[in-house]
Amino acid sequence: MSDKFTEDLIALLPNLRRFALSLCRRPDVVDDLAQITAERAFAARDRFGPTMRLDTWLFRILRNAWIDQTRRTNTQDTTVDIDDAPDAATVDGRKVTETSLMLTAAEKAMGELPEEQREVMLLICVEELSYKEAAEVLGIPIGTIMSRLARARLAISEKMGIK
Amino acid sequence: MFVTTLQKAQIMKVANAPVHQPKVDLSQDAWTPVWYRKFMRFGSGKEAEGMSITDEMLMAYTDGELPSDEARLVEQAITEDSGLAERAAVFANARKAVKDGLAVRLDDPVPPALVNQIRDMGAAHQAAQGPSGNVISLFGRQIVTSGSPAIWQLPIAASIALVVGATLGWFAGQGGENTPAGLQVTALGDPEITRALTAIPSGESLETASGNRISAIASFMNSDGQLCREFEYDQAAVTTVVAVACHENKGWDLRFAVAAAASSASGYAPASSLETLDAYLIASQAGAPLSIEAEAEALQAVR
Repeated sequence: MSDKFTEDLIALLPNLRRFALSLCRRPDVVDDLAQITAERAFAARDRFGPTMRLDTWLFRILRNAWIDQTRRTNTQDTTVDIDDAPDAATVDGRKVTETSLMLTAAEKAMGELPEEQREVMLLICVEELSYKEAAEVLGIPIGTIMSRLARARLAISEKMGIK
Repeated sequence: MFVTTLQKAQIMKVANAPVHQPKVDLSQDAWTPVWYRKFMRFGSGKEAEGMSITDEMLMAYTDGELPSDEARLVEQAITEDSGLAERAAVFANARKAVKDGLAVRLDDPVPPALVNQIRDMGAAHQAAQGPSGNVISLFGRQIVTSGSPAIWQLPIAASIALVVGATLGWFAGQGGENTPAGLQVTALGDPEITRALTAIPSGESLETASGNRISAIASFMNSDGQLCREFEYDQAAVTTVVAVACHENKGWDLRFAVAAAASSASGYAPASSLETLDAYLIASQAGAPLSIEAEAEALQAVR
């Protein structure tokens, strides 16, 4: 019989896979990211305390795993700061995502955002983390969270014709 | 300039949109005034009563992220300016549209192979735990205070096996023959423990003649009205035992004990042992920790 930690992690897999998809934009990479996240979560389990939120903790692990992955592939090309590099995965990935998945209008609009805006939108507007929780997941100041979030929402409303 | 009834209704819809309920009780941290002041300085929004309402402030207002003072100011500005109200609505509506549009992803079936893989990881990890006790994840802890004595509350996993209420007579000087299966408490035959429990206030510790250390952590009343003490016993930096003993019939009865992995440099037990302790405290309906004064009184009564 599985313990509570394992079962709670499994219960969050839909949310983790959704976050992973928004980051990597490639359905074939989603489950690799989920698996790596689970491995690291078990390895770091002693650091997960009773007062912490499991989803916030796992989102952070997943996002760091994604950063590691992009750094690994990027080093083969040019040495560009991860935050400045154009979202290379989106260029090919968008085609793959759009043909193999039925995307909603919102997903299409999200796909057109730069990754840094897309991830704050997902954590705060979709997973309903607070600004502070999102700042902890992404390791950036709350002011940065807010400016990216505002820009993201204005861009989304323009793309989707929202008033 | 003035707001029509229809616009007022739209404003109230935006203002009352329950877009965010903080799931963790965060106190108002120091960061709040800092970003607020920053955006006030660099604001590019509309003027209202000499204050600039930025996009970020409108957005934070609709997300329920503004502290109540600032929220009231923004609310006031919105009621006086329909343009601001419409701009706030854009933020709220964009949030809702993305939330709704991405909700469908949660229905994507999770590949069974992935689930099985993760269960296998969990089982392998559990097997590797060793004698330090089951690592049970108990999150969502709240302390409920409502006039009656506060009680720790947590969801209790059915698989927790605890030693509750067993009178083991450790401190009457008996040996280790009565050790409950699975608990390694052979170190607790030290008569110094009885002395420590009766004398030391919580937060202090005592070094025994044999070089071991007893640290008093907290005192509380159990559901039978007995004085109980949580303490740790560090045996020469080899093992740490986290334990609870309750005073009954002029002696201290060991009610709970778990051996931790090798004690850390600070001498306090690692988190996994504390999770097992938490489970015991919940299952036995322990009261909240006593204040220094209440503890001193209770100890006086048992001496």
